[in-house]
Amino acid sequence: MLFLLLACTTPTRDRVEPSFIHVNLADTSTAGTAEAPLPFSSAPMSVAISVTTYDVEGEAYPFSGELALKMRPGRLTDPARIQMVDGAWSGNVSIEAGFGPTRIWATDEDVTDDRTPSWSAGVSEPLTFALPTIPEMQATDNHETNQLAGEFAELRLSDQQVVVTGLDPAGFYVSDLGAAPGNYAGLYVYYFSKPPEDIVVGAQLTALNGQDSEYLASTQLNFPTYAVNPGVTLTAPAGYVLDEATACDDNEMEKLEGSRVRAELALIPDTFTADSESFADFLDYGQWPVQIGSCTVYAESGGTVPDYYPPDHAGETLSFVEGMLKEVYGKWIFTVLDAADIGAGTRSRKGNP
Amino acid sequence: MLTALLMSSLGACVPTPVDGGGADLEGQPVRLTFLHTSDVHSRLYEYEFTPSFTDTELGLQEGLGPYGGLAEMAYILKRERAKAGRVLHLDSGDCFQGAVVFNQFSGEAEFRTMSAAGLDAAVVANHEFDAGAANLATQGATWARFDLLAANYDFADSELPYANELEDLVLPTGMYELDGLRVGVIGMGNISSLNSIYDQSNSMGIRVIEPGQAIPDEAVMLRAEGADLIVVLSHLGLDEDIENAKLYKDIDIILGGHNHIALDPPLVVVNEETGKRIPIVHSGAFAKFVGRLDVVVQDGEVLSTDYQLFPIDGTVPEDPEVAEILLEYKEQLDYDLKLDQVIGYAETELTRYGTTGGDSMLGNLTAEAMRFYPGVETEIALTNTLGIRSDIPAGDITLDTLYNSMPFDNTVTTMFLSGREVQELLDYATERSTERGCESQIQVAGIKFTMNCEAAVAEDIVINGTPLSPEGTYELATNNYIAHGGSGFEVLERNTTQIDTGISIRDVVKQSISAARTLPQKGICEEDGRIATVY
Repeated sequence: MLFLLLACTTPTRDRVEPSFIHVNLADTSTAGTAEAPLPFSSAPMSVAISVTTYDVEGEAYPFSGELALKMRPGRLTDPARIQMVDGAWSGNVSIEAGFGPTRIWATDEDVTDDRTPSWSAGVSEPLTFALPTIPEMQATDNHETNQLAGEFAELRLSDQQVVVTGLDPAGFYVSDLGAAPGNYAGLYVYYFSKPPEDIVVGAQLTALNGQDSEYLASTQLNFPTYAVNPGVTLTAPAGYVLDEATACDDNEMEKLEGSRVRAELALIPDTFTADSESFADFLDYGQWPVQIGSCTVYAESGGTVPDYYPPDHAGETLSFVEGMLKEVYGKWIFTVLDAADIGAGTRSRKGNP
Repeated sequence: MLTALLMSSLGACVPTPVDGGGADLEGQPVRLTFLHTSDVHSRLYEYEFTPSFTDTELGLQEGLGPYGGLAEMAYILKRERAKAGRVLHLDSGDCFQGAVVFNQFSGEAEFRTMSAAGLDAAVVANHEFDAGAANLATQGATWARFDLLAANYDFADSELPYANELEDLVLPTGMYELDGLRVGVIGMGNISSLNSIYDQSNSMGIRVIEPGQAIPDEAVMLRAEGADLIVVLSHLGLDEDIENAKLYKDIDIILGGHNHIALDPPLVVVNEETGKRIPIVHSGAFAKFVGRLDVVVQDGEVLSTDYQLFPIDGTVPEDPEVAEILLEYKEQLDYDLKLDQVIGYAETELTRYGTTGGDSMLGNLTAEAMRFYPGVETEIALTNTLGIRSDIPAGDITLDTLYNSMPFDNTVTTMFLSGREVQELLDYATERSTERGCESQIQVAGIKFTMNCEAAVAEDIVINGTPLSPEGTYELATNNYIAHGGSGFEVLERNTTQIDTGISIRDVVKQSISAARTLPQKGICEEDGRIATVY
């Protein structure tokens, strides 16, 4: 056995001021409350604050130097740093995408001036914002992200009707019935395992929180917590019928991400053969191409409908095919959940009058 | 800036006091920093692997290996400690088991290096018992310069010879005074994965105290001693952490582990009684990350939190103190085992999970190797997927790589099963896999079947080309962990025909790799669909 006794050392540190930092909103009456929150918005908002510093005795400390600013949760975009003069600073800061109770931080850290920071921090009184609905969270100009990407998202369901629309082996889909069809209503919730027994299609959720992630460019909530309205069953929306214009437009498809979609008279290209480029994705992921007019989307059924072998149907026009829409970096795929979601196919009689 | 560790029987290092004594914090916003690690699993030395999508999202970039390593982890911990005033380093357990250094030194190296990294307290978790409870008592008393905590393990009633040592060593709580701020920490060890608790013999001598008793009781005592904050340092797993945050009003913060996940940012759970918002932090596994949680506290209330996750990759320097300790063990390991010896070559990454959720490259390699090993030679083989702990990267396969992938010292056990028992076995495996996203929890040889996760039953079972006969008898090779009922395999546990061959599964796989030389090859270490999944 190797043997070496570890020595313990207990050096002392000199106290560095300021010991305490106070951050105050200039006007707390406009900071929102739980009952009357500020609206959720990703647009920048200006807030007036003051920052003051104190020593270990709690006396005002005339600190002159830089402090850093940030907001949690949400984003403080400007200024990232402030210059304290004689223990005080006041001014406006620009914030965005706050949700729930959020506070502005002032910290003495990572200084650029030549001094040892105290590592102290203070936070403001809470600014209370409304939680976003699913559509508010999902809506952005960039189809590869969403408003709360990277945050622990808390969603507002209390005044919405949010219904479970589909289950898969590792999670479930929800849709906000209050949103206009095709308008950011859907969301995938990654549960890691088979959803629990109270999560069934038609169940109404009254709470839903989770870590907001863009998994391969599809929004999903990881590690969710949720609440089901017991005894209430809602009707899950029918599949949104994709037309060519929608299928060819990433931003329009983004509005449908996480929702049930339906392709009617969809062609499995006759070029979908064992030596075609897209065949590798079928072998690896069970994905197969479907043409909607001039655009190609993909259906995924390898695990859910294993008896359906799409290469046997190459060249057929399916009466319909339905699934839950996701994006993998610009490639739009709908996951077929059931054999009944694949309609019958017919072959054209091209060249045979 | 810590001023004292209370309730410690070990004389753990007294952390850095502040010149001039404690501050009066009444009415003041106070910043407190937690450095958090978990599930190190003996990854004391850097290692290569391909970061997953999730790893990449969390900041662990491909091509920046090698990853992990305690010297690198210690560098970040010391750097961040230097960038904080009031700071505690807490670890959520399972620093034992997962690499050869544990197999050889039984946790000594883990406790020494974690001590040198400045750890203040760790919860005792299930893998800390992997070399036995007596070993934990010995290693802890000899090498841990930090508190070992578990409020839900009681050793006092045990008549086992080391019970007194463990009772003294493993404290229910710790109280840490940080320049006027008193932080009470409650340890909560894992229950669900510590199989001995459920055995009649209760070989570890642990009496479990339910969280509903342990947390409120300990919190009351800590508050009575002046705790400003109550932190639960947990290895219960995320689901139980969430439940505890909802139910127990005294909890302010939970730092958890066991699931090997990193939550960035942390979850927030609202306590049902008080409406208090409780952050739940998990900071990953295998020494891939260090978590830093900053909180601003005022008069005992957590006002706001901020979290950062630091990836540990090849760009992180070593901490020289820990590196020097590790060098001693490395030299010994090289001398004893020649870990750098190349035993084969991987033309591509050899994965432990299959692309469809069914059979996998390493699973098929392992199960086939078990079945055909001289002296074993059974009709079928089955092993648990989680017994294979990591993928094998493309390139030379060294003995060290194999140990990282297969760290457990499990042996091959053979037994006879009826056809009905094979059906029951595969049904159970399917049910268990269904609960985990239809990701197969077993790997097999000589068996082909469909894992129907929708119905949670095994279908179309074929044994070496012939449909399973309920009246048939089949000889199985498996590992002694699940043969003893580990992971809930009761159908194996109750079997009375078991023979433990004593043959190491790692040696079996090593021999198979050496014989093949290059992997994968046709029929060896390939996914072939023997476990199909339907969901």
